[in-house]
Amino acid sequence: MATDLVATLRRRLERRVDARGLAAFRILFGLTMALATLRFVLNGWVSELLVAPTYHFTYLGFEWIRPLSHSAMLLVFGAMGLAALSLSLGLFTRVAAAIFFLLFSYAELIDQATYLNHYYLASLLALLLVFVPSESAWSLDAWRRARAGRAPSASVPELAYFVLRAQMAVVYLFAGLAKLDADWLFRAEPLTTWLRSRVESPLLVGLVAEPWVPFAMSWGGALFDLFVVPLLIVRRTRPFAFALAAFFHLTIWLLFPVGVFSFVMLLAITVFFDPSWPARLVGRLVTVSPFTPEPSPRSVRPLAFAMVAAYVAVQVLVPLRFAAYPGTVNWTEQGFRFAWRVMLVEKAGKVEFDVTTESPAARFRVYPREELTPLQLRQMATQPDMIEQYAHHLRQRFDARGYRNVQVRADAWVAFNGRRSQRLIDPAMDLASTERSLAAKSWIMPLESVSRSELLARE
Amino acid sequence: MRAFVAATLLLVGCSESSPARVDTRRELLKGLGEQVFLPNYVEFEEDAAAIEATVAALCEDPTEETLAAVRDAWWASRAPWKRNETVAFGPYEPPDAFGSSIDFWPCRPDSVTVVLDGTEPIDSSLLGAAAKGLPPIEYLLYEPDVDVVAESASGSRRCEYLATLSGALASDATGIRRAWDPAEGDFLGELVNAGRGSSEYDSIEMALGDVINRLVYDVEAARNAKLGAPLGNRTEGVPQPGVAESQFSGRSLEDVRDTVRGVEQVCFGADVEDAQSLARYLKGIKRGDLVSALEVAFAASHDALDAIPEPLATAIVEDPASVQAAIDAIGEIQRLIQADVINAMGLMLTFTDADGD
Repeated sequence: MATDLVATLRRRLERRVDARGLAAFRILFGLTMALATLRFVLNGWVSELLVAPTYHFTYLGFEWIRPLSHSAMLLVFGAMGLAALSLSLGLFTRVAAAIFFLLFSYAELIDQATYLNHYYLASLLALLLVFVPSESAWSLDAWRRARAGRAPSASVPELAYFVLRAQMAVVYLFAGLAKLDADWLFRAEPLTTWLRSRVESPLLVGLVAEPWVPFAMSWGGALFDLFVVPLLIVRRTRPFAFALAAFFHLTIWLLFPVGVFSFVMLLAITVFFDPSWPARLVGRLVTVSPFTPEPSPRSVRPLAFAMVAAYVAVQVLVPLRFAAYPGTVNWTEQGFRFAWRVMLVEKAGKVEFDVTTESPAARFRVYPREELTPLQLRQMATQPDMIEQYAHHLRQRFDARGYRNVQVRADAWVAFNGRRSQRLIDPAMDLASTERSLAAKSWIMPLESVSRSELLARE
Repeated sequence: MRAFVAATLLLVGCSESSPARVDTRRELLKGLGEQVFLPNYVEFEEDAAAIEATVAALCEDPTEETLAAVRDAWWASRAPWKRNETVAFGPYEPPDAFGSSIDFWPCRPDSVTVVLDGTEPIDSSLLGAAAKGLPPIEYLLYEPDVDVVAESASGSRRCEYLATLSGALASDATGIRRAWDPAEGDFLGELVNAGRGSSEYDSIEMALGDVINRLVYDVEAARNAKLGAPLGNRTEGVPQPGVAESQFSGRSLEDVRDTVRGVEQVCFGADVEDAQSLARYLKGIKRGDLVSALEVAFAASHDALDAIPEPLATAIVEDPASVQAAIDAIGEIQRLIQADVINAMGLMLTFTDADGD
């Protein structure tokens, strides 16, 4: 029975389908990434976010990644933009995808303070484009092959679409599951707070003061994330699902500063369309050849199936890792990143450090504002692993100044989704003595619930 | 682009249009500007003019009385200036740079002495930031072991220097007032019209963010730079009276009080009818709990500051615990604004100026 199922699935994924749906995705993705790269440079973020900080919050295991000089970083971004354009044109497609993936990921890994979910998604999609045959149609590579007398294949195995669809399904599913949370569903936070500040938005005219609006948007958002993929998969509901997605993502783009995220999502869900959709669309303007499946399709190598299975398994397991940690993930942020926990938290924090040394005996209060950029300070103040990392940095700084037995304690307070500020870190814990790891951090203080008396006191 | 999409979505999503609403945060900024920031600069402009006038009187007739009049004018001018550290952005910063021109601190006596000992005519436009503004005037008025009256009477360069500085100060005070004044430079308009044609601010969040972040910065500066550094928090506990603000006049603690009062003005408004304030906004969004907490925190901070024996230079040696207690008490204000108020106002979503989540 199981063997039959696997065989059926394999036959389905080996089936040759129109390559032009994949090509459209490649073209749109490459163009969007090229524009996003240009925007990053023009906004001065290469300097402001990557080069100017004197200290960088590294990712565990990637401590060796460091920014280059400003001019070298501009070259990196120039190469990144060209790679994105090359990817869009389908010129040396896989090499371009690989270069874009490496350079984009490099920039993303320079400083943890700049982490964004949609940057992570862009990295993953670029990585997938290294492996899927997106150059099969509507690419300069295919044109060059044709000119060289090698007939390009206009079809790709459905597996190529499957892996992209699986990626997007993971994003939406985990974004939806993360919203099955008391704050989101029953307090409508953080949307209540955010919408209050969007009172002048033409989209919300007359509605923003209505208390049901953030609740409707919270529940609607959760339902959308949970069900949009099934609706996209079913042919009959697909147009409705896309219209819904367009409404949802454009609304998000209008109301909140999410950069190119909405457009990345909208272009990425085209992978759920019938693979011939671009041909039909273009066919309304010019004559395009209809898709005809190859009579004797090549089989997909078992290694490809194994790689896709492994990739999807990783993509499912990584967002689930939060379950291995105690406490509320949105508070502790253990298992928060790389897990599609999008738009879930509004946090603000204050953190200072007490440094004590035994030899010579001294005590210092360290105000991190003196070293960190505003963005780094804001991000660190609410993220325990960044606070730990900075504490280690302070230990090294004082060690280098000749102090011995340096201890570092954090005075960290965070206000989360409208709650009164609470201690985030155990003030007695010497963070200089901890080891950076993925292990549960026992020194993160538990989140206290919002009491009814606290809510009443607000009136 | 966004407007087009918004209009399209409106057509899709709404059956009838509703009148536009004004963000109460815009009213908050307008009220603070008109009731707090601009009046403080007007007061400072008047005080700076008084310094110039009393300096002229001192130089014409150097007596203990005329010297006291200059000192009183200088002392008075510090209050509105320190209160308006809450808006130490915009014209305060380059290219106008009124901030460094008026109040580059701590005072660098060496920079003042160089000018005093010079022989060239004193030209304010050629003076560096450390040699002009309120701190050098303080030094010239309160220089230790110097009989200012006698020296002024002796025809030394002290009076020439004071006159030059006070004239430049009056000019700068007028300059920064005019830069904010809606009838002239209208930086206030830049704040209030954020996202609606303001060339400085693309959104109300950015404008409000500047104000609120500056409050946090001021409170931290009061703790770290104005109290902590003299206490020795950066120097293994060894007191550093030389880094205190207004150390020669003994106004260090009053400067801190005025800084805190400035933050308090933004939080609770000016003493006027229909005062706009952060507290009023917070009550409007049902966060009266934060208003109560801020009231308690400010009261505790004032008590703690009042408990420090004057002057600060003595207290950091003889009663450091009282100074530390004030640092901790003011820290509570900082925590409430930096964490609770910013969270309640939803100002944290921005990644940079544009991206989030």
